[in-house]
Amino acid sequence: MSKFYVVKTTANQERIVANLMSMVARKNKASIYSILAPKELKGYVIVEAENNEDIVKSIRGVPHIKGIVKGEVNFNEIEHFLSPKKAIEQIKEGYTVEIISGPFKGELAVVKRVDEARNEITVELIEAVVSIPITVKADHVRVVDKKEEGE
Amino acid sequence: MVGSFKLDRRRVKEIRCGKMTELACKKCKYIGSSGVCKVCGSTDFSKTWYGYVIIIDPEKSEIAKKMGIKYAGRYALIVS
Repeated sequence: MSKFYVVKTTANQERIVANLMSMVARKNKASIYSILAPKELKGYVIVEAENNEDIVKSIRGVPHIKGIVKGEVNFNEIEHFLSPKKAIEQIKEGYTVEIISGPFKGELAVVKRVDEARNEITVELIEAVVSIPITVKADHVRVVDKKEEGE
Repeated sequence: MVGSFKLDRRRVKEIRCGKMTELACKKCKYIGSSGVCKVCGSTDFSKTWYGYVIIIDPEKSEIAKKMGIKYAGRYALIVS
């Protein structure tokens, strides 16, 4: 029966750590079954292993690892990472969003149109004097307020 | 054995430097750098993918069972 453990890493190095850990685990023949690095969980990777000792074996000497979080994690706690919803599915017309990349980074805007097929949304900047519709990728915004229009 | 480990280290270094573009298969989410997916044989790849999971033992892994993965390797969680 496999168990789930959380390993603390340097932020933005999760993928490198997962690669290196898998290489060391294969080399040492440690009973590690999978390594998960979800986008939402910055600075941590989830390791599925037989026991804690196998993880200790495979993190020895690996850079960017800060330690193992004490205790185990249940599978139902990490299940939602495995079937994540697309960003576009979580955005609806009227929502207030913050643009997180591109020339309008940091600006707040209201969603006017959602194009699921193209993975794009059309927004209007809140602070702009003249409202100009801007089309951005759904992955480049963060939902700030889920109040829809007319509420 | 030492040679293969060195090769892996070089590959990781290439990925870290961004020299190697990693593509995810839109069908099975397998991450590779070639034009044909090693798992499903599809040629439909995407540069935009998020989340990362390495399956080492698909038979014993509960994550692999949940995701329906039968082959060991690196997979994305979201491919857009």
